[in-house]
Order: sequence, then structure tokens, then C-alpha cells
Amino acid sequence: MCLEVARVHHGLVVGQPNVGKTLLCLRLAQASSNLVPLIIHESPSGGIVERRLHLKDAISTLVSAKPHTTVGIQTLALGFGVKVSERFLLDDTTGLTPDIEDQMVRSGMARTLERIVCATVILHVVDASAGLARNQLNRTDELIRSVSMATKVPYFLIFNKLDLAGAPEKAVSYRKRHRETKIFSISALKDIGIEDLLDNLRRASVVK
Amino acid sequence: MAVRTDSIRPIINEFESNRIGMHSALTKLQGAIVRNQGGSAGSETSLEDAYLTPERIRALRAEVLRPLDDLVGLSGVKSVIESIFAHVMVQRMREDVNLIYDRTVDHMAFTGNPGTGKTTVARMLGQIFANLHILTSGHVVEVERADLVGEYVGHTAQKTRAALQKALGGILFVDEAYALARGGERDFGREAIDTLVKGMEDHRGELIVVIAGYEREMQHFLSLNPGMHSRFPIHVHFADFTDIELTEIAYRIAKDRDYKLTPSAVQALRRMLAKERTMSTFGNARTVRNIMEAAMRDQAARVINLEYPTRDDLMKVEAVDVFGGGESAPWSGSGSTQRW
Ligand SMILES: Nc1nc2c(ncn2[C@@H]2O[C@H](COP(=O)(O)OP(=O)(O)OP(=O)(O)O)[C@@H](O)[C@H]2O)c(=O)[nH]1
Ligand SMILES: Nc1ncnc2c1ncn2[C@@H]1O[C@H](COP(=O)(O)OP(=O)(O)OP(=O)(O)O)[C@@H](O)[C@H]1O
Ligand SMILES: [Mg+2]
Ligand SMILES: [Mg+2]
Repeated sequence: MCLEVARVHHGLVVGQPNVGKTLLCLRLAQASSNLVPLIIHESPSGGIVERRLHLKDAISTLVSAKPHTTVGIQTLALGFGVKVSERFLLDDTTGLTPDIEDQMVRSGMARTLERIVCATVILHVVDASAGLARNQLNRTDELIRSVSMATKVPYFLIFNKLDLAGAPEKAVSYRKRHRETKIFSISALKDIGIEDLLDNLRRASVVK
Repeated sequence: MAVRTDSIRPIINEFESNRIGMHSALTKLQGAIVRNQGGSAGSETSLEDAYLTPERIRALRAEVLRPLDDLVGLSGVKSVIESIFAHVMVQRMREDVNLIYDRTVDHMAFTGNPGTGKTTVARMLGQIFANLHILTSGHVVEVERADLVGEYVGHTAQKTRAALQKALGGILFVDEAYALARGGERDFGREAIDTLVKGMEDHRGELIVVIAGYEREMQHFLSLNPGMHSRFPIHVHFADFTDIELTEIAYRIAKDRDYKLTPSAVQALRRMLAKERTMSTFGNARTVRNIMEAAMRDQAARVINLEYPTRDDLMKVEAVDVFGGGESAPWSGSGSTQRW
């Protein structure tokens, strides 16, 4: 189930549905000058569709306010580095949540779960504007965080939707309590904080 | 990463075929990853481990609240804790289905006469809340006025903040909290109260403050300080123990230390308790403890004179031991109110 391509960096983008995983992936592609990314979509049952899309079109077709827009694994390459060892693939995934109605979506989540052990970097996206109770992630996110940490690969916790009310305060107060975690505050929508995140990804993926 | 993918396959299958939920899958996955790295995955039965099925809740309840169940009497206390347990479980279930939830437990006021178990219960609660992941460590920091109030301006805030800091992750138990209000307007006690209240807000969810003391003084204190009532929404009253309960406590103390009370010793104990109860120094369970400790000492003084004491002789506490051999029983006077 892990793509065994030697020394290719696999960033896994995980999080609950609708937190902005897909838009973040596209922003990272954009910031890394991959303006017409090749997007490989693997459905939960294994069917593969490849398309090359302009970013603008990718955003309008792949991003939506509807939960579970992305079902399956959607891979694109970041445009930095020419050497194979510097290639960086981002795997966008099906959002994880405990209430699941559809079997297809459940299978999509199963594909997300199995990729966790393949990743060389984990990008965990949370919606900073949504019900964060007292400096705590909700339980699903807390569990995603623990399982990610257990893999011992670099782990980035990304507070998205910084542009929305209340989000900056929540990100700051969470950061205060969890200084050991690498935390980023971004807005995928307003394109804030993406460069910094990309820099850190680049650094985390220097071949050792 | 070196995780063998076949070790996680069964977990993924269980999840995909809807035999386990998301939270359970994530927890198991973490366990598999940690085990793969040669570590220990921690307890499989931890609270975070699985979806809360009715059986799980029953098992958790039995496991977590058992020490409390083992206490004699205290039915009012037990039912309050029971409802806190229900709150925590329901919030956890709400969280599982992404409803708004609040995992914090409110601060509490314990009222009751000396020796009714306030400190004992606070210590147990620390452990219970740690097991329920409400508190990170569950230790109890016991303070009273002298620990919070300082000698000069600023000193009090500093001392109170230090106490709060020490209690983070656990319970701050403020004995006779109303003593903080006793000095009037200019007293540093006020500053301690203000600092305490501010600390409770700043550290919401990180510690539970329990104020304890006599019922009447506590009611007065809470009514004097508007806003205090709502800051300590959980009120737990510790009623005086009945004679039957006190006797049961005596049995337990004896049993825990491999002693046994003869029927006449129980009679003696009952009589003494009736007398003690009328005195201002009466300390409920503490009085029983003191009587029992004195009785065990007196038993030794008696048994040492037996020629070849049997196992039974060594265990038996008789009426004479309880009475302490006459008028000036060692448990009387200041003995019965002494703090242990
Ligand atoms: N305000 C705001 N909205 C955002 C931001 N990032 C994403 N969104 C919106 O959130 C919604 C979900 O974005 P997606 O990128 O599709 O989220 P996802 O996590 O991939 O969602 P699924 O694939 O359905 O799990 C869309 O309506 C986005 O426009 C942000 O930074 N700020
Ligand atoms: N329900 C009980 N069963 C058995 N022993 C008890 C019980 N409650 C209290 N005790 C014992 O009684 C003694 C006094 O209890 P504790 O210190 O908790 O009382 P308290 O209410 O805090 O008293 P004070 O207000 O004087 O501090 C302790 O030794 C404790 O072990
Ligand atoms: Mg998506
Ligand atoms: Mg006490």
C-alpha cells in the first residue's frame, strides 16, 4: 500500500472533512511554482484518474464547502528540486471523522489510515475557526495527532482558516500549551502563511 | 518509516468493514505503530481506546469509581460524583459524533463537620479525574489560609499563585476557605480570594479548586461574595456519620490491620461514640480512628502480660482496650480532634 519509490518524499495531508486540505495542497503547489500540476486521483477501490489542471481550474473543481469532496487519495507533486531525491509528493486524503454514513467514504478513510505509515512528513490540518475547546483539539484531531507523532516522522500541525473570526486567538492559545509541536497558522483561502510552511517542508525533506 | 504494513492491515480491514469506529481505528493504529517500533503501546483498556459502548461505560464506572464505592456511608457525595461521571461520559459521546461538548468539570464546595471525609474524598477525586482524563495528574494540593496569605502587599498574590501553579493538573483543596474572608476589607485574605478567582479563570480546565469547611460558615462566605456561588457550582454536603456507619468504619480499620473487635468491644465503642457525639470536639470518622488507634495501643499493653498469647489473642480487641482502662482514656481531650 505504500508507494515504494526510493527517496521520494511523501507528505500526507490529513484532517477532518472540509478543513481545507485540498485548497492547502493546491496553494503549496502554487507557491512552489507548479502552476499546472499533474493531479493523480486514486479512488477508494483503486481506480486511477490523472489530469493536468491549471491551478484556477483545480481550485474550482476540487475544492468545495461540501464535506467529503475529496474521496480517495489525490496526489500532486511540489515543484521544488529537480533531482529525484528532492521530489516531493503531496497526498491529499479523505477527511477523517467518526460519523460516517457512506461505505465509499468509509473506504476512502481506510485509504487515508493506511497511508499514515507511509508518509515521510505528516501535515495535519485543522479548522482553527471551529469549536476548539480550551486549548484542546477535539478528540478525532487529538487521536490523529497521537498516531502521527507515533510514526516519528516530522509532524506539522496546521491551523487553517486564520482569516475567520476567533481563529487567530485559538491558534495562539493552543500554541502556548503545546510548544513541543510544530504549529503553523495559515489561511489557504487568503494565501497567508503558505511560503513559510513550504520552506519548512523543504527543510524537513532534505535527504539525510 | 519502518512499520510493516501487514501489521496494520487487520486494523484497516476492521475499520473498512465497519466493525470498529474511527477513534478505535486510530487508537489501534497507534498501538500497532508503537509496538512495531519495539515500544509498549500502553494500556489497551484506556479511556481513549474505544467507542463508549454501554458495557465499556459500566466497566469504566466500576473501575474508576470503586475506591469511592468502598467508602462507608456518604450517599449524598456518591450521587454527586455519579452525576459528574455521567456528565463526563456524555460529553465524550457527544465529542465522538462532533457535537459541541465541554469536558471541564466545575469547581466544588465541600461542606461538613470535621472528620466526615472531605479531604479523603478530595484525594480520591483527584485520582478519579485523572483516570477519566479530566485532569492530567490528579494530585491534591492542600492549603489553608496561612498558605495563601502573606505578610506584605504583593506577598499574598505571590503565595496564592504559587499554590495554584503547584496544583495545575490536579486539585487545589482550600480548607476552611471562609477564613480568607475573616479579616475584613483591608485584610490580605481578600487578595488571596481575588488571586484565586483569577487563577481559576486563567487556568480553566487545568485544575479543579475545592473549597471545604463547615456548612454554615461556607454558606455565609458564598453569600457574602456574589459571584462566588456560580464559581463553585457543585456543592457536596458531607453529613455526619450515623452510629452504624461509625461502627462499620471501626470494623474496617480493625480489619485493615489484622485486628478484630469482640462484640463487647463494639458495645463499648457504641457507648463511647454516643458520649463523644455530644461534645464539641467530635470528629466523626476521625474520632473513630483515634479511638481505634488508642484501643490497639492498649491492647498491646494488655497482651504483653499474657504468657503465651495465641494468634487470636494478638488479634482481639476487647472492651477494656476500647475503654482505655478507665476515666482518663487516652483518646479523650485533645486527642480526638488531632489532625493525623
Ligand atoms: N475562510 C476560509 N475558508 C477556507 C480556507 N481554506 C479552505 N476554505 C474553505 O473550506 C472549504 C473546504 O475546503 P477544501 O479544501 O475542499 O477542504 P478539504 O479538507 O479538502 O475537504 P474534504 O475534501 O471535503 O475533506 C471550502 O469551501 C474552502 O473554500 C481558509 O483558509 N479560510
Ligand atoms: N467514609 C469513610 N469510611 C472510612 N473512613 C473514613 C471515611 N471518611 C473518612 N474516613 C477517615 O476519617 C478520617 C478523617 O477524614 P478526613 O480527613 O477526610 O475528614 P475531613 O472532613 O477532611 O475533616 P476536617 O474537616 O477536619 O479536615 C480519615 O482518617 C479517613 O481515613
Ligand atoms: Mg478535499
Ligand atoms: Mg480535612
